[in-house]
Amino acid sequence: MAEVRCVVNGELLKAEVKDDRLLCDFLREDLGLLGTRVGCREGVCGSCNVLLGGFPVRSCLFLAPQADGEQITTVEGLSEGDHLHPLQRAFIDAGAVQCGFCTAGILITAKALLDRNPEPSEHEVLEALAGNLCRCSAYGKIVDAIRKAAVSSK
Amino acid sequence: MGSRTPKVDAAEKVVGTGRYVDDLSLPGMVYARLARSPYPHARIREVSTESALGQPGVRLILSSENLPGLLPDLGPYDPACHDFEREGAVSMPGDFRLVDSTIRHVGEPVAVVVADSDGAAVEAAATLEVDYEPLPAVLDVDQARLEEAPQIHQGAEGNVAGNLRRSAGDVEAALAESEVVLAHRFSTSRQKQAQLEPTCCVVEPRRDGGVTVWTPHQAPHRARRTLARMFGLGLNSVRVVNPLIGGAFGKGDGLTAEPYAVAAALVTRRPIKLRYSRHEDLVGTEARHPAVFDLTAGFDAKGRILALRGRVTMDAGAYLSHTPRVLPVILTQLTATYRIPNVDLEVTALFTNTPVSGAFRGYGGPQAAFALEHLIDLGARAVNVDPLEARDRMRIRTGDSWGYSRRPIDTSGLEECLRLGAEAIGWSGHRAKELWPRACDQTGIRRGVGMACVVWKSGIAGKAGAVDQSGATVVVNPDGSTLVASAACDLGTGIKTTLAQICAEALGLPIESVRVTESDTGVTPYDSGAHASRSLYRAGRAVERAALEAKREILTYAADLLEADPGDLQFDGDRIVVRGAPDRSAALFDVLERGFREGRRFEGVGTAPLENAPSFAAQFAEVEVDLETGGVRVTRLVAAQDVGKAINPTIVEGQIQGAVHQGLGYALTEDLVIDPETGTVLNGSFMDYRVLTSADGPLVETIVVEQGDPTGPFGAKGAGEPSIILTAPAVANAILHATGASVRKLPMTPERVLAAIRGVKLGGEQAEPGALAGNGSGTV
Repeated sequence: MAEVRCVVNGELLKAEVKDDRLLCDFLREDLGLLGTRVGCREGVCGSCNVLLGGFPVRSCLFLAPQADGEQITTVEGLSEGDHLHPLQRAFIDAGAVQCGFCTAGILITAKALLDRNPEPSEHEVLEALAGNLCRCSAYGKIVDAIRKAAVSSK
Repeated sequence: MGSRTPKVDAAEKVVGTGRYVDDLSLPGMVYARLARSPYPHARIREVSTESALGQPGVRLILSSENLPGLLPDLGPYDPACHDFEREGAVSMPGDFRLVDSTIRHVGEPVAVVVADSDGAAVEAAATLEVDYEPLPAVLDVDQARLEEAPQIHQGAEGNVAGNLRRSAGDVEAALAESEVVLAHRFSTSRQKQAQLEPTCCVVEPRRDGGVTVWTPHQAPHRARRTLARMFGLGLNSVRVVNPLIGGAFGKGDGLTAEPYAVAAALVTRRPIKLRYSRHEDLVGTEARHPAVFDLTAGFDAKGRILALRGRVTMDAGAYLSHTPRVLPVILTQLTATYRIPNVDLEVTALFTNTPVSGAFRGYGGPQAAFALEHLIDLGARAVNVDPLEARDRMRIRTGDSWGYSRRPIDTSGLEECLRLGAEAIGWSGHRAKELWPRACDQTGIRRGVGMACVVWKSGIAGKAGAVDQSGATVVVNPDGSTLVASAACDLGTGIKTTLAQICAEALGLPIESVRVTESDTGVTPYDSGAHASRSLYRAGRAVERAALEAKREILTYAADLLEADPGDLQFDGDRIVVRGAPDRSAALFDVLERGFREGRRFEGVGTAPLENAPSFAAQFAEVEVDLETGGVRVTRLVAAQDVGKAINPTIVEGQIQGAVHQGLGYALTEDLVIDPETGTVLNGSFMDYRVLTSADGPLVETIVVEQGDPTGPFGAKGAGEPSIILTAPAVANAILHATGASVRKLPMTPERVLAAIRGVKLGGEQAEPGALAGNGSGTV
């Protein structure tokens, strides 16, 4: 067992976890943060992306003990109460959500992108999303949404 | 109508509160996993459960040895949930059973393991000791048809799973009169839906001996019917509910985990969660049928097909499932889009010891279109005709009969799709200025454009024997809010939003006041489910009719209050007014509240009429082919589609764009590869099964054409599938235009493209004429 102290969506917490507990299972099952989806459990699809220290990581490839001392943001941490993050608002308005299973991971990747590059080109958005599969393939609308969010959060 | 209303479920999906099936937990729930066969064909001698049952947390193991005793009423079942609507000319081995003692493909479940935790179930399933007696296996259709091939199913002589033939006119005479006769073989791949949500199911046993099943199934009412039959339960004892669905694309148009989870729940009397890993999802759920087309076509000097002879062999995989339905679609699609006077076509499906072939968006359409549409370009090239003109000359037209209905075509947007698509891609400029063989630029890259078109359907009604029902009820509450009960499944398609829009429009009330129920067999009328581009066309009509009936009830009651004729009343915002007499009106809420107190019910029930509507699409691709590597970069994709009426244009565009991108994967990368020695899937992970990413293709340009169909809700018709059908042939035709090389096997990998370019024989593929060696033959 390992002790994990981390900040998840702005809340400091302490937990005892098994050494081999995956970060995605820790978030979903131990903390009840079900918004993080697990699509492949092999680090390819990006559905389970969360921000760890501001960087998007595959929570299925991270062990919970590795989150010790880190700041984690999941999709639940993007909005503040009823106040949606500009990305979330833009995804709704642009029709960038189809089945929605990839959406949380893509929002996380997009947030990390905009945090570093507030005005990405279409090409930069497409490159940034290359690690997030969307099988409904709403990429056109997703790119629209991310670029609109970039403009609206200026 | 026609508004870009945001999806009703978008908000819960972006904040993460939406619930998919794996997000559900029930008190006392335990976990099941499946143990699967490593052999493609085997008989089970023994399942040794002792050691697995000794592992901590393991409760139960269900196998062929104990299941019949525990559930004596359990029967065979049809995983496609079509068991009540079989079509003729197809054998139906009734041997698809849960954890059978005979195994027919690698990955077939041999036991259900139930444990206190998912981890314990995974561990026990992986280490379960099963003694197999391996049997000789048939791993492709060429082996399946050999005389000495082992027979996979009793009653399926020669491993034939189905066979249909269609002929018209005199093919031999027409071929003799043709300007050019071409004979080619086209092969398609085993594409997987690869929806992002891995298969999962939660089942709760009920006190009445029945079960509630939460599943991303695409047709809860069909699932209920099949589950009830196989477990010997009444329809009221099985309730099937959709949580949010993380994509489906055909994977959920039949049973996967559900029967195993139901069996475990009935035996343990505990709620069960059964998950598939991504690997299990790829190898243990059904894939698109691989098919081989041997086609011979005679073309006239204008590029029209005078005669088409074809022998098509589909790989059904190990069990029948959807094959009886996909087979006639392939046959129909070979003659659906064009007037071909002379045909002799035979489609045969063969069983093999490979994963089961089944439903996948397009359902036979993509296979047929790849072969036929590429053949048309080869013919047009041979007679030196623009392939777009060749198609335009022979395409089906208004007034023609078509493949899926006895009613002739009322309206067709095909001409418009062809014209607008060609304009958008710059067809005439591309095709006219560049003659074959093209000059290579210094980088060795050649560019070309290609296209394809299709007529498709909206559901399966219109054919004898097809069960294609949609029912809906609409209840207007006393506060003016409205509840629509419909089991139309929202796989991410936005159908719940569109149904709400239809209801609001028909009632004349704001969309915000309309809610559509979950697809729950406990509260909805029968609906055949989300498949065959049917939901909007069928369920939309049912909702429209139900809403209009509810509105009539309101207006009839209001007419009494206002002492007017119901026909003179209309909704105006939140009031009901008498036409031409603005001073005579009543507040809607007052009417509804008063009616409620008097026991009036403002409700409607609607069903969809048994009709079908043709939809049309044309697609244009622009490619760059690297002559050194065979690499293909698709630089533009223009998809034009006649959807009748875009009730929500954003949703329609999303459907078209997604279909094209999946079609591009079919064209370039996707194929579940079976090891020819062992029958094992060699690329059963997202690492190795290559789904295209955002960086792999161009953003799809959409052109929405609206030739309203008189039978559709507000003129709308099927929109989900036509565009996935056309991408692979459009890309193949663009490669042909760019290089003169014909790639007739999917996916069009760099290796195959290069081989076609070099005219090299590769791994049993037909040798291509040396494209680069030619000098100036066949300018187009």
